[in-house]
Amino acid sequence: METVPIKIIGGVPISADGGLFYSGALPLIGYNELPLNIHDYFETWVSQNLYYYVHFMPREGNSIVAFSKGLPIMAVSNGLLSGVRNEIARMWKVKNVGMQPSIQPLNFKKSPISLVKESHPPEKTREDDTSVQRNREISQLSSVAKAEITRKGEPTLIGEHIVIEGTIKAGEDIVIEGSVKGFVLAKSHQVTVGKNGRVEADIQASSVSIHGAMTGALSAFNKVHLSCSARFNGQIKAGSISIEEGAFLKATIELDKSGKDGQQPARHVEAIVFDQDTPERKTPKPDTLKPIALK
Amino acid sequence: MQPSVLENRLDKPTGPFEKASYGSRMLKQYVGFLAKRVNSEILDIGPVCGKNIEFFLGHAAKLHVHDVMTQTHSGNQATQWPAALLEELAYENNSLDGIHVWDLHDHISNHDLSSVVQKLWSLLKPHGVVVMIASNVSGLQPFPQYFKIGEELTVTLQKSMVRRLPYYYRPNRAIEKAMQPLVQICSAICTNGVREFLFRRQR
Repeated sequence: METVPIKIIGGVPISADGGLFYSGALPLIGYNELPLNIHDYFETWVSQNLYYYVHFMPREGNSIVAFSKGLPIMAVSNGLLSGVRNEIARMWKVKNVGMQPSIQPLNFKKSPISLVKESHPPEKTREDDTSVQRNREISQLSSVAKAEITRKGEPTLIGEHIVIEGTIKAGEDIVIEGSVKGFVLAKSHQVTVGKNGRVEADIQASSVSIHGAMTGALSAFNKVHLSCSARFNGQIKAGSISIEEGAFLKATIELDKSGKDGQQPARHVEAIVFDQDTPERKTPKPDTLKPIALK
Repeated sequence: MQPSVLENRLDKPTGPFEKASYGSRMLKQYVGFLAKRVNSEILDIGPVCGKNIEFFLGHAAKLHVHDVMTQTHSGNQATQWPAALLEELAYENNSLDGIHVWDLHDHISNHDLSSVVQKLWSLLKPHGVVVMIASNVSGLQPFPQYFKIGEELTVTLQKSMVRRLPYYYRPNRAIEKAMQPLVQICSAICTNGVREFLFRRQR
């Protein structure tokens, strides 16, 4: 059986039904060979390096269809569909899983879809042309690995088993428990890196809370918070910052003192300055501070 | 019964360690020094403390925080100490106005300390300063500690949650000599078993 290399780099629901974008390609296998846990299946291929675009969406009657380079390459039997839907709902907190998809399923002439790559191209039909065109548009979207998150309400959760490489533009709060590489833009919203989160990315957000591991540049218009479990290596620019004891930090930190919430801390300590140009020692002026007496 | 001074000393880590506080003269000078610098850039080496970061960010335009002790001494990397420290201090030469060192040199041998000091010297701008806090008790138990800055520059000793490190006690003169080519500006001995030093890089 011929396979297509794949790297799953994440997914975003595109319909209430749990339609899912995945950037990556899938092997050409029969749907009966798919494991029940779709994440295990994806992880198998994560180590591959090629980037394709795969679009999962409910197909009429019995399947979820994956595309690679505009071609359908996989179908999932009906028995797995509910499990996949639930998994998608869990990952993205999609409500109303049973609703009809907002994007109509593609209409394939052959059913089930051919799961084995054919040695010669099939005859083209009008329906094929339509689907290819649509899939080409999807492929163009995937070329920047962009996940547009536009739903309102609860923060979007990137699950522990999700790996995303590319740019995430978030129109709502986002919680990262999985792995993200690239760039996260959530200008008006909060980005949280959970305890299991692994981020190698630059983040721009309204506020950022780090509980897991992050490497990269972090820019928050408001507050940055690092919990005791945070492991951060990179640059931080924020209106204000709070760090719990126990956090590991190798960072360059700048406070944006021009921001409305980034007020400059008052320099409440009067300066006792020694002359920079005279190398000889100077006796400090009498200290107005009294050492705390040991009780 | 109130604890005696001895019980508050660092060599009694089982005592009321958190109460071993003092008002820091060196920090006051350090803050005064930073107030004269424009767009000052400073480095804090040692275990991370959120309070300290907040404090230093109030007095410098840019703060580098290097949790080198936690990083270097986690897992099985102890053998790299302190060689790894030099690699990790990958900042530009002549870029820092001040460096704040918490209980670092107490855990570095004489052989290695000279290269660490040379590195600190190269990172400093001319006239840049190093604030250093050292233990003042011979035979101190070799656990790293850090110092939490509170209101009115009150410094409270905190036991650092990292593995034990080798400990090297040095008298004042030995410290001054070991820190060359940095020049000692002043030093102070606190009643709770801590010494503070202020060094400066000359031109």
